[in-house]
Amino acid sequence: MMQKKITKANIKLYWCSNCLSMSTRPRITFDKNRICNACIWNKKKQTIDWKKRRKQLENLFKQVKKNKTSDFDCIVPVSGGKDGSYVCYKLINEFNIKPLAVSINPPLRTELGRKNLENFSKQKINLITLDLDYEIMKKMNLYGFKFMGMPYFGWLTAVMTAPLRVAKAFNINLLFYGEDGEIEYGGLGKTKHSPFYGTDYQKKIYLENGYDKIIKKINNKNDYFFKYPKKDEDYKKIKLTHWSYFENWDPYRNYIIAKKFFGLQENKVSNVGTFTNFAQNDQQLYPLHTYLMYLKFGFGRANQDACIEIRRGAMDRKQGINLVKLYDNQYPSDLVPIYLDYYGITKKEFDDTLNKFANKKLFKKINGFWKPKFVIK
Amino acid sequence: MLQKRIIFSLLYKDGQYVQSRNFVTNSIGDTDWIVKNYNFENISKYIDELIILDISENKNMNNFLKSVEKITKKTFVPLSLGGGLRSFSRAKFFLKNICDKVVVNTGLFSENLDFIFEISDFFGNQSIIASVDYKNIKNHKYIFKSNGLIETKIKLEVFLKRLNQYHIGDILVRSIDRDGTGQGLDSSILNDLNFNKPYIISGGCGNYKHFIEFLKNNKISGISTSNLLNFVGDGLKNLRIEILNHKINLPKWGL
Amino acid sequence: MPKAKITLIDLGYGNNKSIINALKYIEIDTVVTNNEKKILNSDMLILPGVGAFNTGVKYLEKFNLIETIKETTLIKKRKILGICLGMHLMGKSSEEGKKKNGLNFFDIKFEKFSKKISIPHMGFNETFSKNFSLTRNIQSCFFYFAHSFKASINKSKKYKTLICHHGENFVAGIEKDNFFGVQFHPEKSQTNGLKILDNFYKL
Repeated sequence: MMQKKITKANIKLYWCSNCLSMSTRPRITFDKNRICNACIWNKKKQTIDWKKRRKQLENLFKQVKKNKTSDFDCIVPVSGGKDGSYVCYKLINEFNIKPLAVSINPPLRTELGRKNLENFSKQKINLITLDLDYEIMKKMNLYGFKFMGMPYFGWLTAVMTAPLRVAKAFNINLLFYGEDGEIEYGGLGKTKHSPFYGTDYQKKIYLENGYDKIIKKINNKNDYFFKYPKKDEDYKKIKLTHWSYFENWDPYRNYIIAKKFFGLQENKVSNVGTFTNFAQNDQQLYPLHTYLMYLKFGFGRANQDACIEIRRGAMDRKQGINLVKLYDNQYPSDLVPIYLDYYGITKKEFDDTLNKFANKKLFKKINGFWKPKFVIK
Repeated sequence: MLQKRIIFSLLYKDGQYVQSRNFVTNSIGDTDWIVKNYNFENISKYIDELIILDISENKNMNNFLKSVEKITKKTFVPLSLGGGLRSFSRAKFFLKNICDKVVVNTGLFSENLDFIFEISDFFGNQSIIASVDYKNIKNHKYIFKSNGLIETKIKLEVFLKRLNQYHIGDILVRSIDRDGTGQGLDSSILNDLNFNKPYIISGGCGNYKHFIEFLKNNKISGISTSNLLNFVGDGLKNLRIEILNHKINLPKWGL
Repeated sequence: MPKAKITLIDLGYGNNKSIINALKYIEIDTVVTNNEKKILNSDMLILPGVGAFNTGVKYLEKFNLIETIKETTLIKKRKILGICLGMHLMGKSSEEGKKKNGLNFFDIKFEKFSKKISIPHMGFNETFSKNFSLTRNIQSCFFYFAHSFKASINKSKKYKTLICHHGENFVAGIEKDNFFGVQFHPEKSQTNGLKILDNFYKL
């Protein structure tokens, strides 16, 4: 399992001098001034030749239109949230492209998530919603939780495997995902200069090299939508790309557009574990995912959101620190009963798993809760 | 020389204090949360004025005032209260017992504006802050009332001229488009602030940089922010220090 | 000897609570009253005020306080501090209330600020003085102002004054013997304001 381990050698804990990205983040790099690669990229984005990339996009669409294999030009995986909505908006209105939106219904969907997808569906767009095998989804999520500390591993997998199946079914050869988190939020810079990437990248980075192990445990003939297809002729034709390659990715801008044109609604309270209320609020496993991220690496959802806010100039680093200190360590107590019921596990099993993944070099248990040994600065 | 003012606004809604973005709110915490994470007894010395607005749909004045009292205990900074104010008796109650100024927003569009004259006769025109909220629609600014929900079809420039005749003190102008975005204030507003009145602008301030450019402008008497999240903890203290570092005329009280 | 108290003259309107809280914070006991006897027997007085000049005079007349205050201060020589409109009431007259006269402790008149400057004068402003007693131990003299009418410095030269500038120099504070007036609100002026109140008490 290729997860970055904090060893004595790399225990050096520090935070980006510009945003608050932590040195523990897998694959992140910093320059000599301790500025992380996400911030460096963010600065570079202001001067990069976006016209050139736009031209690449236009050429890509020309090719698609020329080699028309389907009534649809591409697939956009969506959830009803801001990013998929934004990409669809641009495709339809600016490039005259016909996307097929594909949504994988997440487990433990929130009412807000349901409402936002419903609002999305009311736009002039074709949407296919997949409700995948409940047991397989649950099992993969549970294995993900237990063995990798990734509580919605099944859904994360399906978001990448299922659209490929749909692509084949409709003869669509182009898939647009939103952004590459490795580039935008810190990590490997591999896809910076190439618009297309492959399923190997997905397996290694997004699924943290855990796919093979976990899919093997699923002994169920109904796993079509969860399996990566063999790389045969049909699937080799399918191109995977990120919208963030072709246009300056701005999560806040996406939110504004999604709100204006797709009726995106925000949460009436801040989301668990952070101070924002307009992103990632469609499924109840997300707070568990970010809490585990916090226990493993020392940064949670508030830290991620603060970094985005700092980079877009809405707050400075000191302000971000205050918010991270206030919101980052949030054990999702209200949701625990829901998790136990969903997974079919006991509280002991649940807490044991959290304990397993809590990085003891970063945290110590006080009064039954993990408290950070470090102070963000 | 008259100094610039940094004004902090708290938005109270049904017992919770909220963060607002384009006048859509989300709850952050209750009175105790404010006491814990702002602690105005300590922090009020870093701001020039405090505004607390009750934007609840169904107002419970007792609860609101209880909360205000708890938050402003042991603070000696000018306090303004508002929220659905459209009568002399309500304003009198506030001004006699609790605060120094009242904020009138939707009340400015009442059919009968006698109450404004009554308040200013009794308490002085400086006791009234006229608050107007606007949106940019096709290159014109239109005023919205009732927490940004109802469009009045009145242009901001027309209304500001009208306000010039009223017996009021400060005029607080808030941009709905910019509110809570952290994208900075709306610079186009400067063209509309044309009568020698104390103008306070609001909408879009996320960090100290957003304040500096506008505080340097002669037309601006003060800037208000209601960004509850961004200034938590020592945020207001750091804000003042940064602004003072940029040589803006702000009073120092032994800082 | 019992500790001296400040008697706050209750005109029936205006936010007395702020002044009371400020005094409480610096451990000064306050009596709030408009009772003639209590005022005559006070240690020292604060005359607060917000609003229009005429309203202020009207309330002084309503509670029969004009003679009482004069006796307490002119004859019994108790200290008195007028705040904002309270200071105006201690003057001769104001353009704001043409038919009424003030207590005339200071021979000054109040006029509206010139139209060239933003009115009302709202916010913190800096004050300067050579000899004004109440600010003698205050470093940077910023106080909170909220008014449209002021007394000109030129015509106040026979008094000890505290000067402020808004378009022109005007009277921010005025002093003669046991009579003090401040145009600003000490109870709204953070720690500086608390010092003003403390200094008045201790003089």
